[in-house]
Amino acid sequence: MEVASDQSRNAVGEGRHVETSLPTEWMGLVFTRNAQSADDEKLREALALSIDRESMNSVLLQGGGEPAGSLLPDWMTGYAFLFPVGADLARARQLRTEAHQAPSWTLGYDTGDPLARIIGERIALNARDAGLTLQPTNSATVDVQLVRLQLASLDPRLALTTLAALLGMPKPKLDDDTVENLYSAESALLQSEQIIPLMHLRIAVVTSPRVKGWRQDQNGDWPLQDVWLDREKP
Amino acid sequence: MSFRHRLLLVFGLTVFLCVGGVAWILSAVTRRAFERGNEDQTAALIAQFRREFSRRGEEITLRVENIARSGPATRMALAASRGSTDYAAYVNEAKTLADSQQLDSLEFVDDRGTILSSALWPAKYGYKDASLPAGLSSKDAVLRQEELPEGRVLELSAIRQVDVTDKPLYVIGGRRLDKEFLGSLELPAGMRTMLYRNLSKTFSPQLLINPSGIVQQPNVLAPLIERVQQQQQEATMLLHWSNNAADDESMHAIPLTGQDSGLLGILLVGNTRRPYIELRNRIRSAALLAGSIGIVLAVLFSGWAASRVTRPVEQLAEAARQVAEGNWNTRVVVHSADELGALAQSFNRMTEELLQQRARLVQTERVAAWRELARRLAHELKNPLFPLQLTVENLVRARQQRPDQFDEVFRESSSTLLAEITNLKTIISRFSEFSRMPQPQFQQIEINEIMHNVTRLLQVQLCLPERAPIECKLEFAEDLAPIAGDPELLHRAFSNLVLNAIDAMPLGGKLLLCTHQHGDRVMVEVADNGIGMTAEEHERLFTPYYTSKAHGTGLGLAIVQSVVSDHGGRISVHSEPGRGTRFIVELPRNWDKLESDKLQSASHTSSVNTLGASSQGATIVPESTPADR
Repeated sequence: MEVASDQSRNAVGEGRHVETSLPTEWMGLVFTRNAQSADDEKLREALALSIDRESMNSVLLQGGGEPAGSLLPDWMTGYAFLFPVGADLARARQLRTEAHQAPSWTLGYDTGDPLARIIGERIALNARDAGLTLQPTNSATVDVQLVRLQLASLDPRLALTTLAALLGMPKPKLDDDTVENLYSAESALLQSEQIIPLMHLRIAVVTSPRVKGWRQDQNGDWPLQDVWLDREKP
Repeated sequence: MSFRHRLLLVFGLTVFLCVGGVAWILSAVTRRAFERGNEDQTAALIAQFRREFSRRGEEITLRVENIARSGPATRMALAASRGSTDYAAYVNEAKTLADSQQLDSLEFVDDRGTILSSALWPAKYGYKDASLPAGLSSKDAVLRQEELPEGRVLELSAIRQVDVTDKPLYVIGGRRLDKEFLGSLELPAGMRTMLYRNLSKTFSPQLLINPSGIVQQPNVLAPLIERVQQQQQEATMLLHWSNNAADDESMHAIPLTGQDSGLLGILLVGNTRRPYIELRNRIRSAALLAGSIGIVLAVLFSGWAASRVTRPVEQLAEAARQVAEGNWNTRVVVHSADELGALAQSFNRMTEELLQQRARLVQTERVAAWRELARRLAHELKNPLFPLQLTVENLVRARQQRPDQFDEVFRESSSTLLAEITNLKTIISRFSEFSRMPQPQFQQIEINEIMHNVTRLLQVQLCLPERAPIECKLEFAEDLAPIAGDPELLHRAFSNLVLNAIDAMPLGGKLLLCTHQHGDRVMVEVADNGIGMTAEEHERLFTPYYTSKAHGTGLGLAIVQSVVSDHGGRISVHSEPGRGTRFIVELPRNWDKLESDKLQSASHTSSVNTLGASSQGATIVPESTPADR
């Protein structure tokens, strides 16, 4: 039975057997408009630097994800660690100070998703520490949208292309099959200052103690042929 | 405006004012009673709110205490005291415990004020709770503002600490003061409550809620809320929600303060004025109906009463008017024994007394006139009688002493006797003529023609050689309207005036005869610049048999006045001694008399002819001297 990533810890606490997947879901912030000015870009960068992804993952997600500074997870590309994920509140405040004006942004999220709500509220709190105003709202028209997207494929190129399309961004330039080219394409997307990656989320599955062999391999596949059911203990 | 109308107006106004006054008093008493009831209801509701507030506070305090004594709180306190708080372990703890104790908010805060877990804002872990220091001093539930992602809210909260180690853990729990809280208050009919959450320095309509949510027309309440914000005292205001007064609402505002006496909210208790307005309208309608009926009845009754009161007064006024016109026999019927009856009796006594006094005066004047007549007769008759006596005595003496000359004396004496006897006859005929003054026979006449006839006849008098020259000037208006009158009598009257004027100028002078039209009346003036009259002569001018002339009868001007009066006219005199006299005769048109006279003429032709013949035979009575006036 699939459970929310933030509930996996509770399930473990309750003595259940929880099997988690590799991070296959991308969570991030998407600005609904392109940056209008240099100040706008600074403010967007300040917002990205103000977010404490580690705390968000450990507390709110109960370790059910990985802090992300990229679109594709590290297990898929191997270079994701090159994109910074740590918060730098001092730098964020500096950038905020450098910007002449700081508009009050509205943050939209999926109101049917409790995790999105709590993550959005935390982001708002972190942004306030940097001097930014981010007001969570369920309004249809927002400045920033908190987005959760399942990676469409285990193929990084296809996943990136699909993800960019879902985020409304230009199609990445993937000229060849090299990792460098993939890195360049993803970097170009991130440098547009239109998206702020937050987390890569895992899928948690609670299984009966009798279920054996239910785990994901390194490629993200689920080899069901290895799954077997143990005899019920008296 | 007549006395009756004034009475009617006074009666009507009195009734109207009475009905209006009663209606006003009723309305005022009703309003006062309603306001008192309104105040009582408001006070009861406020007391209920405070009881509910207190009850909820106690309930919240109890629930927070239960949480503080619970195992999770103890474990959290122990973990917090070790200084290595695993926020992930407690992030959902506050929510779980709050739900179990039916609290809206719950926070666990360590001794440094750091939030370990928050039910309403789970993402706020690790942040400081700014309200903690203020809440520590109160054991009871207090009103406080709680910050949430969507903004601040007002809640009633209590704080308890878990002292399992030397580092306490604070448990802060509460319930929102929101529309559910307002909905839990039991309100009497016609009352409602609203809550303004004072979370902004200026009035914000979004902060105003009622049990159903958003308040319609919130800006109507803005002045009241702003007043409470400024004064931080209870205030009451009458709110007009629409043009219909029945929609008015008396709104009582109660400031809700926090532990630091800051204004955190305003409870608004509204009491509709619809029952009062409807009752007032019913009273006004009833008063209007009663007033209308009352005024109609008042008009009818006051009309009847006023007629009863004013009828005797009107009769008295009419009687007084008739008395003023000369009808002294007028009497007023006495209907009552009150003041008006006494007034009527006094009026009757007055007219009776006037009649008696007039009779006495007439009698006195008659006696005086007779005495004057006797004096004049004696004087007039004595003058011819004395020569008669002397002549007869002379005849007797001549017969005795000179018989030879008796024939001659007899002839002389006979002529003297005849002359004096003729004189006596003349005197007697004048008196006889005045006693037989005829009634005027009206016919259409031209005054100028009569005046021309008078001047022609008087040319003889003016041309006497022994008389000093008199210049006669005639100014007759050509546009004189014809009038109805007796030409013979008027001729005689104007001749008398002219003769008197001539007599008043023994040394000569100027005589002015003038006619002119004045409205529908004809004016005739006879003026001289002769010797004039004294004040005494002027006063007795028209008294019959009064004369100051040596040989006058005192009848000339009396005849003039009688003729003018019979024609419905007036005669006036202006005179100054030494400067002359001016008579002004004013004659009306008298067309009505002409018509009635024609009718009389048709039936009494013979008698008119007789009177006319008599008039033609009459002579003008000249006044020989001016002093005769």
